[in-house]
Amino acid sequence: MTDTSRTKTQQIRIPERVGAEAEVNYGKEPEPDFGPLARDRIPVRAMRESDLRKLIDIDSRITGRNRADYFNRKLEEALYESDVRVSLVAERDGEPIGFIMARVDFGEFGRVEPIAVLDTIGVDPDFHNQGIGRALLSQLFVNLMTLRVEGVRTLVGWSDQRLITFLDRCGFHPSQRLCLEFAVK
Amino acid sequence: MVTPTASHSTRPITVADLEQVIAIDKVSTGQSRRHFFEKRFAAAKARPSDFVQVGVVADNTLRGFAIARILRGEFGQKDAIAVVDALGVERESREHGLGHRLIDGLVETARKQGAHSVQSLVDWKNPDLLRFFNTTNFKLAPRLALECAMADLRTERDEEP
Repeated sequence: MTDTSRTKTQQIRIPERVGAEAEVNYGKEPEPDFGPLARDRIPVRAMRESDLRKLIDIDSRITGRNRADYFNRKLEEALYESDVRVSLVAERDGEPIGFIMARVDFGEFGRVEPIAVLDTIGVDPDFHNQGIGRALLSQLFVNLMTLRVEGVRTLVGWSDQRLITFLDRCGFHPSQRLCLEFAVK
Repeated sequence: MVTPTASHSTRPITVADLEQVIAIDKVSTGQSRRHFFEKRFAAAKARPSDFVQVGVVADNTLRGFAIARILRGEFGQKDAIAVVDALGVERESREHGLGHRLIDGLVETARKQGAHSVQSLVDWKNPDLLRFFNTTNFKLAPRLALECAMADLRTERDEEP
């Protein structure tokens, strides 16, 4: 064996066991290009009037408040008014288990670029940590892209750590805008 | 600062003021937001309790305007809030205190419509507007504005809201 052939042999890495990183498993099912998307695993569809009671129930379990008036108004806006609203529901076994609502307003807050405002999101507490929120957000983005919306904005209570963490992991970041307020009462 | 003269008065604005609003706003933003204002005025006509629209007028001409939308429950907030989404004063009338008069009118009308606070999002890089809101006694709200560009959506697993 020459010096050259010994060097070549030393350069070949032998996998320590079957399945090791260096061994290619040609029998394995190929990975999808971008991994299975949450919205592909969890059905997400447009909100319907018949969802209302269930959505109010889910929301009351999250917030501890009955916001029937709010949901009635939102649904009315979504179904009958001219504002572009995207209101979606995630379901399991045909039952709503989460919701998301956004409004597209070309020109709001003095901005001229098309921005959507995410104002409502909720997931049934029994289905937390199952990717429902991500599925809803993912489908929302798909729908907004067809409207040529370039970004989404939302407001979060500064102590709402769980929501902030969730949105951070979904790609949200602090806006270069400050939220100012004047207490009226 | 020069205070508004007695000839300046504050009143609600309507669709009849649309063209003047668009013209004043265009000078400030550099672009016509006709579609936005047309939608706003149409929505305000259909649901007047959800909007606050005030103007300052002198010599039968609109000199400035402020428009807010009343939110009742959005972003998980318990109380109704009025969100300022357009504010403008014609160039010739600036530095005359019209902005303060508009905010006073906006706050008063918002109060009557049940809002507990008036809020606005202001660009960190707009010192003039920040200074204006500071002088009208606005404070930093305990809320964060978050944004996401479409291209930024990532794919990690997560906790639910």
